[in-house]
Amino acid sequence: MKKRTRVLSLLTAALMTCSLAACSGGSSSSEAASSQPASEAASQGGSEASSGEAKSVDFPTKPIQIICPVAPGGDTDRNTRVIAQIMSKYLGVNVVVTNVDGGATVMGMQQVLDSDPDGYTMIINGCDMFVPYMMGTTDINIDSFKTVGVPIIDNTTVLAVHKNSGFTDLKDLVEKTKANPNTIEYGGKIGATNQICGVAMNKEWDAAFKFMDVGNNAAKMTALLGEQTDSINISYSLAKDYFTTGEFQALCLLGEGKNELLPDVPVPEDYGLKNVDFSKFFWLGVHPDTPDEIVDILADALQKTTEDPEFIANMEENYLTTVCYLKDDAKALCNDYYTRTMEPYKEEFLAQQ
Amino acid sequence: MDLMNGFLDIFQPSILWLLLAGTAVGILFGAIPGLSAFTCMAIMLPLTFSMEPLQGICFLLAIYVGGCSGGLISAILLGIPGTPSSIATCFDGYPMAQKGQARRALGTGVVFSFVGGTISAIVLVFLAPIIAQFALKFSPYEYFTVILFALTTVASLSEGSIVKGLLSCLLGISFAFVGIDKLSAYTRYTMGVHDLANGFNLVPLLIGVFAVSQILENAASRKYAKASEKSGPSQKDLMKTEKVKGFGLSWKEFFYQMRNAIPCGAIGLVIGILPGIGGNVSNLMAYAYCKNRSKTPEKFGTGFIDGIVASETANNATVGGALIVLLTLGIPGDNATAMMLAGFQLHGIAPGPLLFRTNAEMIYAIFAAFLFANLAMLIIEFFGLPVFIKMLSVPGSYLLPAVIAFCFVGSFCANNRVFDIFVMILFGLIGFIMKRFGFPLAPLVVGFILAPMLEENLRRSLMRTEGSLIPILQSPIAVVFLLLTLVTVILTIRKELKNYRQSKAQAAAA
Amino acid sequence: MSNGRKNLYSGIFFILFSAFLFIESFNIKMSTADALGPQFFPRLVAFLMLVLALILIFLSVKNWNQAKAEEAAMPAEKRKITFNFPLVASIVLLLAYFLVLQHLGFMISTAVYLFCQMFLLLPQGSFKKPRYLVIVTLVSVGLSVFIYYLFLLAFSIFLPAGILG
Repeated sequence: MKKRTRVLSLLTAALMTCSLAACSGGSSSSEAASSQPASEAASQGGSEASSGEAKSVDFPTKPIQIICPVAPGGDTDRNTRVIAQIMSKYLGVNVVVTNVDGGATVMGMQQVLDSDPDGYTMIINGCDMFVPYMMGTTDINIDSFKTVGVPIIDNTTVLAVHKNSGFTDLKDLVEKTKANPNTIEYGGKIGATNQICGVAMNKEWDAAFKFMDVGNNAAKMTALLGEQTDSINISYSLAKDYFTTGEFQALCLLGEGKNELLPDVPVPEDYGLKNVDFSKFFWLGVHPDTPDEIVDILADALQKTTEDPEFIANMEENYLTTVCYLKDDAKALCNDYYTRTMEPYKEEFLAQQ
Repeated sequence: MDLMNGFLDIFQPSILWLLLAGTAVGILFGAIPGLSAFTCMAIMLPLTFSMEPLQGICFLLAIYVGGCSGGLISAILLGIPGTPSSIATCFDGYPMAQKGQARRALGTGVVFSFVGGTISAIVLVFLAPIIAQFALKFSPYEYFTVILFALTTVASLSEGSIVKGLLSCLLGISFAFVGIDKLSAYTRYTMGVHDLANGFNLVPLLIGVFAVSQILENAASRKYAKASEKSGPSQKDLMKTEKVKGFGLSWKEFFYQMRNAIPCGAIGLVIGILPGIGGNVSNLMAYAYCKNRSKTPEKFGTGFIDGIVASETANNATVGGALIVLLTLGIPGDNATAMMLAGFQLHGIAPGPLLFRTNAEMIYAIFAAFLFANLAMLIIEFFGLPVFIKMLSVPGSYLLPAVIAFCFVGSFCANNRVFDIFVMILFGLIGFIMKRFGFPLAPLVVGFILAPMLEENLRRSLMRTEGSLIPILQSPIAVVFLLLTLVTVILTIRKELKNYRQSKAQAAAA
Repeated sequence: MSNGRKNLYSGIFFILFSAFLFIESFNIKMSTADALGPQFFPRLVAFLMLVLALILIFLSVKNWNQAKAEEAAMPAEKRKITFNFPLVASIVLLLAYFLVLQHLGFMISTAVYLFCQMFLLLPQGSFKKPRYLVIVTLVSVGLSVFIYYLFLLAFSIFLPAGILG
């Protein structure tokens, strides 16, 4: 074993060296490789850190974790990593993403509630946090935490169909579902927000989609590409290629209003249908007993993150909207989402389970 | 020609270094039980932030290749699969190491990892877009039948008694019920324990069943061991008996084994292409395939080189299969490719059909990097062989607890939860008791991995057909796999009856 | 124990287990999304398990005489279950490890675990030999500290820090 560990440490060292070499040959100005207490990050964020100290609490002095309650690889994970990277610049310490998957995000939320209320463990979540609460499988919801803020809104969810499906526009699709109720599929993941979206579409547009469990985003794309299902909802950026080639058609944006970054995608209102809002917010919270001073420091860093040009550019690349709602404003925003876009469909959603 | 340009793109010191370092780190993570290519990629992903896109992607790719192969080291030397993709490598690799043929076993594993990787790389380069279209033909109906077919491997994995093998498999299936039901989002069999809401994680289960049970076994056997320095045959002595050089494999054997390697590579590739199944399954299927068609199936499980060839060729071929789907369709087939996708996205690149048109240079550089990473794996592991084998000279009394310490970390890292360490211990106990009662452990793992997919896809199919099974029978692919399943079951029953009659005749004669 | 006896006992266990699966399946929340529902598979498995367990018991009873003979041929110490200290201690040690991990942290718990486990595997009486004491102490402390810092510093993985955190 000793031999092996020695090799391990050697290799780690080698790896570090060459990754650093790659950094120096690299492109961007951001060097906050969050796998090591980046000295450069500390110096960049030095002034901010000292302004934090001025608020009489010495925070942060060690790395901060953001618990991401889903497995690595999805959009939540991606956004969390970008937030962590930029935030570490302004907090002067390493911000690390820790994935705790499971229980429809409940596992990760529980882990934050079980941690010390010292601000070193944050949680990120989106609309999905309300689903298990709505189903009655947990008591945890946004009120179980202190809210730090909402830095991103993802208004890129579109209703997509395959080009061979013959649906010309949203109106056409909705009419066809009315003509043949429960034959035209809307594929999604059971027990997730996209199922609620299906309920909402049927209710608001008097449509009759047949909800079909297809799986996660990757599976939804596969199903639509293979023309196994008729329509799906998906983040525009995930299927960007297919919209560009025309293989997929984005019939409408499922958001509150038009997304300026996606000028070509119509909204239901353009067809005289009510807008169905399934845009997503990304929310950061901490343990409810965290001292207010610490929440202030975190919220401050989050605000600077949302003003960071690199951050904004990265989000725009994926058509995401950078916003800055902090603490109670953010909480009100999230609760508004819940009462507006989820609660009205609760009964039908539960009946489908 | 494009491929040549790809090679030119990656032939710059920084990328070659990253490929080598990535492969080496991947191998290490793969070799440590509980840590896999996926864990390693998740850990290393932040490092790629600051790299050039091609550098970052090559680095992740190298980790993926190394991680998939590294599992064979602990599988062979310790009998503990380093990653779920090397479960079947244990069956013959560990007995070989016990017989003093560690180097030969490792060498074979390494060479055929390379063969598997290369087969899939060649297919990737030349046929990727065509093959990707094939993957799209698979709807829940076809998935259901493929997984049903994969479940028949249980028969080949239940050495001794098929009844016990099936019971072990059913037990594994039962454990998989715990947690959220995929088609209703409500929990099952959690008995009100919140920590169980996500079910049992595969990683701690696997380490428990294979690693913890083994340390318990060793502890239990101390009682019967003489008060000598080491219990059991001294492995130092065993090593001396092995006088082989290089990979411990002659050219003749190499070519002979290609009969196994090529079909196993194909199995690995097909499984890799189907999103959601992955290397966990392909190594077991390939093993079962080789055992079934072998003229000497009884030799499997006793330290037979064909078993290692089957498992290692298949799991590395799966990597190429998964890459095909990722690169051509932009769909991640397993969690490791999901990390690759994240790596692409961090650099603002979306893999998919457009990438071939808009950035073909990048695609061919990735192909070249994949081929090179396979070569790097071969070279690193070749020079590592003597070092790996030295591990055996560490007395088990020190080595096993140290491995368990890494297992604790591995279980924890799988989902960053302390509870998973309990799961690992629990399954260590279960595995230990099952071994004592003569139940094979592999079927338990197979049942645990496959049953949820089987259930999910069958119920999805029925959701679409509103309860009718007829549409499933109208799919040609599904029918083929159903027939294959049927044939395998009939052959197994026939073989069992024959064995039963034979043993009866023997008993009568005695 | 002979194989026959082992099979008999495991058969009985599996019958009980299948009963548990079946009874517990009534606590599953009904769903209407698909035709089979979440109870179908557990019940199917319970049924198959019952059938196979009965076969196992049937076979072991049928070959009971053979098992008896086998048992008689065994050495006395293997015939019945005796208290095996290293085994029981290892199990207790593992469970204790899990229980204290969050309170004491990874480094301390792992060092203590490794120390005890190594002596449980080393031949009896090694504990009294200073040479072993030195090696085991060094390895167990060194390895746990090394792993902890390796994962924290190189990979940013926060193993439980416990009282040292």
